[in-house]
Amino acid sequence: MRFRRRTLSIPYVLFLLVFVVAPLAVVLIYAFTNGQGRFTLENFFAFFKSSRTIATLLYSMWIAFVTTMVCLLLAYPTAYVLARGGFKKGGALLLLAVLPMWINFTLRITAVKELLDAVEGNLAYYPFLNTIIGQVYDFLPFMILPIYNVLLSLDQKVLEAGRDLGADPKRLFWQVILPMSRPGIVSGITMVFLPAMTNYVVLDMLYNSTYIMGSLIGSYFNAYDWHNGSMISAILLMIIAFFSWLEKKAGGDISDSSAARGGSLL
Amino acid sequence: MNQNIIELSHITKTFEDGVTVIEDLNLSVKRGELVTLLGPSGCGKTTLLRMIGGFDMPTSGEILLHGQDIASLPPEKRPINTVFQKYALFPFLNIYDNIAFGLKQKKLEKDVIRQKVKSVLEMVDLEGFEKRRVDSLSGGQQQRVAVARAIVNEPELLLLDEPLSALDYKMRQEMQIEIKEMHRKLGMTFIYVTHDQEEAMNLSDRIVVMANGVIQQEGTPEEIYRRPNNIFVADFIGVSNIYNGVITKEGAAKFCGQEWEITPSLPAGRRINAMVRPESVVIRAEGEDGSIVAEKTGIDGTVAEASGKVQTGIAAVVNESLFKGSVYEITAESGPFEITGYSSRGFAHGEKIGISFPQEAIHLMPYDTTMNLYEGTIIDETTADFEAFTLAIDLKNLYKDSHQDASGNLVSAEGKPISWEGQKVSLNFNPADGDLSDDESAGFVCGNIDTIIYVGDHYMYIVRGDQDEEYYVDDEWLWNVGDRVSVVVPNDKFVLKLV
Repeated sequence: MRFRRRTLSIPYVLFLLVFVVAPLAVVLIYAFTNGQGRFTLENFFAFFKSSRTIATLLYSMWIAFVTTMVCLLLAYPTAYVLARGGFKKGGALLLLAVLPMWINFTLRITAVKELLDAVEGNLAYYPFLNTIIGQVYDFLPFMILPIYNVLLSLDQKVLEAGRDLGADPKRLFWQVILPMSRPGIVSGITMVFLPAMTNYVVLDMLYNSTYIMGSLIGSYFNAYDWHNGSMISAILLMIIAFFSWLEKKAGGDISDSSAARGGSLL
Repeated sequence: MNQNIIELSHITKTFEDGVTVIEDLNLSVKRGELVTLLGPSGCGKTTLLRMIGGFDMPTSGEILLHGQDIASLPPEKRPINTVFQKYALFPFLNIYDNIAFGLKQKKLEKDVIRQKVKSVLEMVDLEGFEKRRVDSLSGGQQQRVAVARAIVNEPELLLLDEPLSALDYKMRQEMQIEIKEMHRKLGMTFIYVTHDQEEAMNLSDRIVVMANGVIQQEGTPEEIYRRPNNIFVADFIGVSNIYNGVITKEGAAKFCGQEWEITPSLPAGRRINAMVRPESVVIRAEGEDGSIVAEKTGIDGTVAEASGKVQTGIAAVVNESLFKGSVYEITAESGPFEITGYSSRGFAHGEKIGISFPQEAIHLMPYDTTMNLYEGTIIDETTADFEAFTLAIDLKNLYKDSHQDASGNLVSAEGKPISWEGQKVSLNFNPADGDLSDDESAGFVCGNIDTIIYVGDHYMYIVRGDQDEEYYVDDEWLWNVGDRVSVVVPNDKFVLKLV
């Protein structure tokens, strides 16, 4: 039996229409209308006028930034050792690092919570620290994988060229290996930073009552304020679009960044 | 002062998997020389270069640079730079920074670096490319950057690892000329690795032909071409006619169907390989009187201005006549023998011609008598173990005048018992007595075809056994490199001796 390409694409197009295009349209319509159903930019300005929403945005970014940095500092050496440590079973070791991803993250965070509870006595003492620990635990594999893939596929000859031209192993790392792993780092950062901005479930579960973008949207929707809630979603979308563009600029330098997308184990 | 810039002495390299790629190799390179390491892939030439560059350590032996052993020095500490096969440029740096990389490691002043990069860019004809990205350059341009990046450091020794193999034919030829020019201008010592014999001929002051981790021959391109040491070199370099033969008397050898006068003086009965290059082959069309004897005067269609004496030749029939631009390449058959020669005019298929070899053009090479020599141990009364294979033996034939006494023990003629257990024996067979078969159970051992050399009327095969041992077998059928074959030798053709 033969299908035409057009026929084969129907399921995906339907999925796209129902779960991406339609909701997006609804969000945008709600974001730019008021209670009477008229077009307005009021919601947009309201977001920037309210110190509460701005503070939430900054707090979200701060949490996302710290999470990303901690992930990067933990993931790069891990990925480096896994990819270039000369292990015969490097792949199996990598599996250990990303294995937790196969368990639902609420379950994992519940486990973290119990651990932190036991260590700290009361979770409420360190809400920010706990949030970062939870987030890092949740996102670390997303940082390890792309960096691992880039390091694994480094052209050995280019590294040899670096040594040949007089770089000792230390300088080779800073001047050749690190620049060449940039696509993986950029990819990892985008895979951690953006979701970390809205991952409010972690905060909820670890008793951090401060709002981040995700919880902010939820609070508006819970109060049946569809218009402002949608506008915050729309603004978040714009921020994501901006960072995606930034990523493309930063990572697009190296043509072979496909390896950086990685995720072969997932 | 010693004028050798680098000396390799007794270098052996065995990889972790136990494969020995270089065996007890000695080589020295003079300052300012352009030396080519030439050989088929897997001959160890790249490994050798990597050891000089510092990327591989020799298992044993010394690498002396100006008399100092540098074998254990890391690459960054050696005053040696490499041009890599696929350029290996830094993709995240522009052309300027690629070239300046080595100078920056030396912490030179910015102005000095700028000046040096500028002049080297001029040298490789890439002025104005400083800000370009690596992937915006063509293969040839990237190659120039790779060369510039290496020579800007003014290394004492420049290593080039098949630098032109990724380029197309025309580009390769242009770059050969440029590399040669650059070598002359810089006065630097170049060691160049290639599997392309034409490239090696064009470039080198000296060629080092390698095979199976061993140097087969060193010499100027002309020496290697005219006086190859063995048939491997003769076959690998250029087009050649090679024939098995034997010295019949002082100054004469029989090969390719008749007796030829030869220059070298060798004892009668010595087996030889004779080689004649196609441009030395004298070709003459059939005369009006039906004579097909090639003579020195009035030679038809021969490019070679045959020097010295042209001998009475053999009759042949043209098989193929290919126009090669400056000459026709004529392939002719004379009985079972095939002869390739160059001619200034073409011949028709089936045309009768006379073929002759000038005396001076006949180059004789030794017939390897160490081939097919194996050592083994007697393990029981009917078997000897040669590691790669076992062979049925008859002890009575092995021990002269021996016989079995009443109790079945082997005794000498005087009746003394012979202790044969663990006795070492040698086994030898003539390649001509061997045959190849694709039936693995037909022969005494199996292996894969490693080398094929056409020897006039048959092919000479080197079969590599599973323990890396070699079998030389002549066979008239054409097999392919890599074919799995078994080596068939009739039992009475084995020569077994006590050692």
